Order: sequence, then C-alpha cells, then structure tokens
Amino acid sequence: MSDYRIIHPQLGAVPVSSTGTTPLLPLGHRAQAQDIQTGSTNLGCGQFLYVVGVATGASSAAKGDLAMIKGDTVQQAGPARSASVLPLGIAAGPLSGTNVYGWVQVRGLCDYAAMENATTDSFNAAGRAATAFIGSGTDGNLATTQSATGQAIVGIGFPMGALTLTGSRSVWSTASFTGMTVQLFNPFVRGTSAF
Amino acid sequence: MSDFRIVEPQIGAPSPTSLTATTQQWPLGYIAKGADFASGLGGTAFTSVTRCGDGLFQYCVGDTAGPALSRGQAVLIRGNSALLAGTAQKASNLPLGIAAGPLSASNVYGWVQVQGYCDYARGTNVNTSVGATAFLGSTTGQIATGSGAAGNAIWGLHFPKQVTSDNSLSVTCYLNFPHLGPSSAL
Repeated sequence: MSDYRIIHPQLGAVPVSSTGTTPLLPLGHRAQAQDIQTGSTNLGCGQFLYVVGVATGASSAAKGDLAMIKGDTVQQAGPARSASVLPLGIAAGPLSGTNVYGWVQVRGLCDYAAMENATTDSFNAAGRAATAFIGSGTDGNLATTQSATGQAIVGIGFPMGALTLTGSRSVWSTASFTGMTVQLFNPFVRGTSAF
Repeated sequence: MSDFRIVEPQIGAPSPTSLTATTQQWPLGYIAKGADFASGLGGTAFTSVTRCGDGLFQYCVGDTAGPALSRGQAVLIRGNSALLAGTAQKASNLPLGIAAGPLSASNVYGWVQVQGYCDYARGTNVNTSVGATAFLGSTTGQIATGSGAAGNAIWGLHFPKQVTSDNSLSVTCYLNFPHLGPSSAL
C-alpha cells in the first residue's frame, strides 16, 4: 500500500492520510507528495489538494472514497451528483466533518481507491481503454460500467491492464489488498449531455 | 528553439529537460517547473511565441511496451512510464505529454512536458491554423490537425500560432495537461 508524504513545497514529510480539526494550510493548496514505501509497488509522486469535509452523515468522505470537490470542500461522489461537472479526487484520509481538514489526491497513481466489483480491459497496444464511472451503488465508489448517462469520468484511467476486483468494495486498510490501481489526472465528471 | 531547464525545486545549475539517464534521479511522476533559457526568462504574446517562459515537466521512464521515443514525440503517460502515442491508443483515456528528451528504453529516465508552451513537438506535414483542434497523427508520436477516427482528439493541447510543420522538431503548441478525449459518447 502506498505511503504518500508531502515533499513540496514545504518540508516535513507529512502523511497525506493525516487530518486535523485545525487548518494547517490554505484551503485549495496543492502540494506534491512522494510515496516512501520501498520496493516494486512504490507509486512515485502524486499531487494532493488541501480541503475540508462536510458534516458527518452528509456523504462525508472516508479514505479511498471518490470525492467531489465543491469549492474547497469535499463529499462523496455518487449517482445523485452525476449531473455535476465539478472536479473529483480520491480522499487520502477520513474527511469526516465540517471541521476536519486533510488531503484529496488529484494526480498520480493511487492504490487505495474504493471501487465496485469490476474488471478492467486487458492490456493491448491501444493502452487502457476502460472508462471510469461514478459507481451506481454505494456513494464514494468508482466503477468501470455506467448505469446512467452522466456518470462518466474524465481524468481517471486504469494503467495496470486486466484486473478483476471482487468483494463488496476495495478495502484500503487490508494489508493484503491487491485491488485496482487507478491513475488520476485532475479528474472531473463529464456531465449529463454529450458535447 | 526552447532551452527548458529545471528551476524548481532544486538548488544549483538548472538542468536541461532534454537530459536523460539510465539512473533514476527523481521520484517517478514528479512534476517540476522548467524555464526556457534560450532567449532569457519570460514569455511573449501567444501570437508570436519565440520564448516559452515557464512549463511543467513530469519525470517518467520509457515504457516497456512501446518503441523508443525521440524528443518532441507525443507520449501517453501510462502510470509513470511514457508510451509512444499514436492512433492505436485512440481508445485510451490516459494523459499525454511531449517527450523533452529521448526516452529510448525502459531503463531511460527523463522529462515529459505537460504544461506550458512547447516549440519542439513533432507534427504532420500540414498547415496548422491558430486554434485548430489537435489529434493523434497517423504516424506515431506526431500531432495532427485531422481527426482520422473518433478518439484521436486531444484535449488540453492547442496551437497558439500558425505553423507549416514537417516532421522536424518544429511545431509550437500550448499544453494544459493534455489527454485523449473519449472515443464514444458516454
């Protein structure tokens, strides 16, 4: 499992999973973090936004949830919000209240995203063709199939080739988790109409 | 021609973005700021680009699945590796960039430009109008202005000035974290 820590622009190697009830940086601050785990599963660098959560019980995002970035606040993305075209990210920590500040990943490889059961396309010369969608069941889940128009996501890809994920959803806290790795590049909901 | 060098965050003599090495120097995926040293710092009006100003560059490694890359070729950034882009990748939705140096093998590390003016992209041999939509070219690594097939359109790359390009390192484009557009309506 990745262990991203903030390395730029400030020093200190703060884990991106850290949250707090006191804001430490300006909301919307974008920082770069490096995965410090060793070995072949190291993910390199990613970019993270400093944000605040919404009230508990109002679709507040847990770690790994697909999160919609509304201004500087984030909440779980879900079918009810698929008509939006707001940006998305993956919550790097539990943003469990209106006074809880933390990070959401918006760029780079991410191995802790919550997903519905899914199978991505196999590797071929065409790269990775699978499109990411907002999950149709549990809020905060990613999916690789679309249940309704407007749930397509631009800015999330599956770079690892054919993988099948089974179980109710990915569980980031399980050490043996080997779910899908997604590639984030400033994702957003594509919108409900073709254009 | 631009002479981008990394200026942030490291201290020391700016390192040309065209440099590659078989030893990894930075974390893969790291994005650093480069500045064009060819004609002094700063940019110019977009209608007459002669200096490129600042740009952002992502540190990558050559992809094991793709052929060797040359400077100026369009690449698909798959994870942290750079794969030569072409119409075969039209069904993909991964991000794109322009190789700043020859990422010629799976053990060669270097930079891919993802933001800012870029005057060394490879284009097809066509007259490109200002503001034209960019597409993947039929020759891998090249940028075209004709679509060919659905899915070839590039979002986040445009032409700020007219070019009569050939296959040399001559096409000026502006990069805004480009990626391929969806290949079908969703």
